Amino acid sequence: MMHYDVIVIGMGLAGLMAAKTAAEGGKRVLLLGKGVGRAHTHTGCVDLLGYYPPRSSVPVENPFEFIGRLIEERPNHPYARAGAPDIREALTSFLGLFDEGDYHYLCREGKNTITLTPAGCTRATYLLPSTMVWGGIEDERDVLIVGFDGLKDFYSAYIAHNLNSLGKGGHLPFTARPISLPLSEFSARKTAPALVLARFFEEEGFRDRIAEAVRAELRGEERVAFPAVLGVERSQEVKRELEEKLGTTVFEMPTLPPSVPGYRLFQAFKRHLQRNGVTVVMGFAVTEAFLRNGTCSGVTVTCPPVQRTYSAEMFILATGSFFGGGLEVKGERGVEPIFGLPVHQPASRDAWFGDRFFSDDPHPIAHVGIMADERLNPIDEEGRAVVSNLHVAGSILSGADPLREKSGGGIVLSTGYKAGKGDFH
Amino acid sequence: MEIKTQVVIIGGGITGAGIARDLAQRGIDFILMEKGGLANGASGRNHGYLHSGARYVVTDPLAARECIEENRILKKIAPGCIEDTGGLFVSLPEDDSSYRKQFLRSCEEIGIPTRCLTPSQALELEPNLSPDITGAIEVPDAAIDPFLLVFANIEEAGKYGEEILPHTAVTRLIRSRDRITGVEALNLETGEPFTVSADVVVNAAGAWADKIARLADLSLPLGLSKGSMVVSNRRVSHRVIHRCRTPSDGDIVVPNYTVSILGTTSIDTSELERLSVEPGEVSFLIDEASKMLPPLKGARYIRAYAGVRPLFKSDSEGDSRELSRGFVLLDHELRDGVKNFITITGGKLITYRLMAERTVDLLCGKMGREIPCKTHITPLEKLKGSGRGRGEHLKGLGREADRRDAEVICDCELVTRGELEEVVAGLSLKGLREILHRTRLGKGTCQGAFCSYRLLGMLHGMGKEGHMDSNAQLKEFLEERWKGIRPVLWGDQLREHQFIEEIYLGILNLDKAK
Repeated sequence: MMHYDVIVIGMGLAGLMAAKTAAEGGKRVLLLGKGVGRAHTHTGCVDLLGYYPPRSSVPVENPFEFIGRLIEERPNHPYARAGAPDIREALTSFLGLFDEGDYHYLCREGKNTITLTPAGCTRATYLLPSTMVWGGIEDERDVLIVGFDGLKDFYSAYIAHNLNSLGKGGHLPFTARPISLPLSEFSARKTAPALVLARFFEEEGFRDRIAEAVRAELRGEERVAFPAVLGVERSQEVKRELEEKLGTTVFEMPTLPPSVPGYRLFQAFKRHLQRNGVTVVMGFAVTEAFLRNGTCSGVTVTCPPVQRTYSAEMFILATGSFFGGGLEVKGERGVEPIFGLPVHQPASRDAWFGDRFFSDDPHPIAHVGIMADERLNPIDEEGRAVVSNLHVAGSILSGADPLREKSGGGIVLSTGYKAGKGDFH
Repeated sequence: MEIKTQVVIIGGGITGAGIARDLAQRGIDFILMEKGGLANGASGRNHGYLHSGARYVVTDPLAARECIEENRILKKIAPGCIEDTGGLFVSLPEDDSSYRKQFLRSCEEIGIPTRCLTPSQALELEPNLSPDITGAIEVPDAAIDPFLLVFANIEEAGKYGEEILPHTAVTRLIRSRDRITGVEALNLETGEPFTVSADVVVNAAGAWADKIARLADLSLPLGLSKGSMVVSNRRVSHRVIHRCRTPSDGDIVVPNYTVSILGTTSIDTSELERLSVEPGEVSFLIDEASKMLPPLKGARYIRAYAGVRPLFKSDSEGDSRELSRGFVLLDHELRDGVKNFITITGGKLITYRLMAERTVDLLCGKMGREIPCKTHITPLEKLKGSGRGRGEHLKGLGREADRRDAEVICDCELVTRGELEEVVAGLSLKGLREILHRTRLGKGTCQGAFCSYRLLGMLHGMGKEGHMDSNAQLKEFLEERWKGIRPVLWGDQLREHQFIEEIYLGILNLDKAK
């Protein structure tokens, strides 16, 4: 049986961050995941705290100021578990994944940045990939939005129309104009998903033809927006080249999933982990945990027909909520399938959801999750520790409202970081 | 503004649509008013079941006879919205065998063709049936798309904006002692009030019929019964599968294109506008239906919805009632002394044409006209053809894969850009709903979570967005979708729900949009 210091279960950002942190702390780490995590379903930006209180629609300017308030007001929130110092350290550690001369992440001096969404709305976020830097909403330079006939998850006319409606309301100082390029005129394909299109952009010929077509369409715009498909491995270079050819600022906007920036992020983590000696085993689901006297000695992973067992001193559970598969429904109850941890939840299924999809308060099911103490050790409703050498990180934790707060990225990175640091005793 | 016409029809469900087409064929002018969109009430919230009459054959032979006659007519005049699946009435060991005998006898009397199958014959036709069945009887049931039927009738009846007025509420029926002298209405989109005077006013408001009657200081003894249905994400049977027993709750599964619809419950209600399905009803329907079709037990469910049936309670002064027990045609001249007011309510989707025929016959009499009905012999132009089904469409996708309009917008139901462009071309768009009712878009596993955004993107690209606030439309669509999926959110659907929230709140930030 292979033995490790730490086994991390879960391939999302929380698991990746935990593995990174543990490895950097000198531990022998095994990272297990049944899929590729959820990075590709995000925008590729890292949110910290975009709106607070969660129902507010006014963006938070300085998120750390409000995190302090949140920790006081919501003691069960994962941020209260992580604590402000570890949140800061986690973000610094994350930024260190990237080389500043190349594709990297930026933040605006501790403040949130406003980005544009594929529905033509504005949105506050904290860390921005360097390819998404666009000058911001106070910039008066007009924007040309480039879409592609054949890319189904990004519509330039829709986005421009809604941005200009905001503009008419006096909310934006620039106008947006859409164009849509037929993919078939630039490649052998009529339609392509985002990742395929992103690979096309790494080919010089394709990129040049696109640049030429876009330049011919420019009517004085000094900023050109593309869907986030500007290359996979060499995005910074693609952006720079397009900027040279167009003589404008070029930036990426998020698309609907799958997200190419999310994919880049996942790859950056994976490369880093492998370089740092972490064993990464993808496609294997943990199907059993060996528990005795409140301690875990090992886990079994299964990917038929292969089954393996690994042992470790410490375990980190970062398997996500229902979407990620960290929680499941058995009958009428939410359960945690690997360790059978107590799951905080409403009394009955009838109370899982509110009457409206867009409600001011989260659906009660959003609070379903694992309760943890300040060391991220899982606890039951009475506050008693359940498995002594297990720590829990990421969106499986109860107590957050990441979708309304726009805090998901910060929560998974900071709790992953704290769990990986392992300075518990 | 005062408008004159011959007939005002109140209600844009299948009954109103059928009356409108019948009037148009007989050359009588009319205006149809509907407070919501077309097919908004029970007409759009049913099983999509084209009865053979067998369901009522023991308990209500007269209704059964109407059903089989209309079944034959509709298969001739509207094959384009019907999938002629056939149906099986299956018996389980716990079912009373005397019902089955009576059932066969009554079908023969009424002329509903039947074929008795042994359990193994039935299982060969429908492998998902329970191996415990003791027998099955085949009848000419079918599946029907009620939306296509309503729209086809409406399109042949008149023009939108002139005769057909959706989103128009009747606010008052102006009444002298023995007549309705005017109909006061409000255009809900512009807020503009107007008045129409007509020779005859027809109340075809379905479950809302009593509310309309009250506007003329009349009342109808109308009870309301909510029926809930659940949709699975795949089709589990080729045919309509029906329990062979006295009609009851949870005894029918109707195939509908690529899905199956389980139904139904009957719960007394007073609520007409905000219908909700409780998780308990969903569990009940799945438990009952899976006795006939066990794979339904572990199936994935994508939506639940409810409609309200109007139930006409026996009217002691009801000498004016139509003889049929299936529907109620009230001549308010005989009942209340109001000469030019008619109410038609109750009935089933399948008897809409007959209901329209009887209504128009009655109002022709009142107008002193004698023009014969022809709706039973005139096919609906849009619904000609060899019957509905996606097979031909899917073959076409393969052939046309390299064309731009073959781009698949709705991945669950394989609805193409070309198909949508064709639908959109004929509409002056006010909202997404008009498109959703006319295509399969959004009716599959993801329930429009991905393709509603794409549809809006496509409309903008075509310059078809008009005055629509697309994000408001998207939010409204998601709220409407929410009503349907909330009762079925567990298992994989719950996982998907978190993904959907991630998209609309996480990526698009629509929760913060004004």
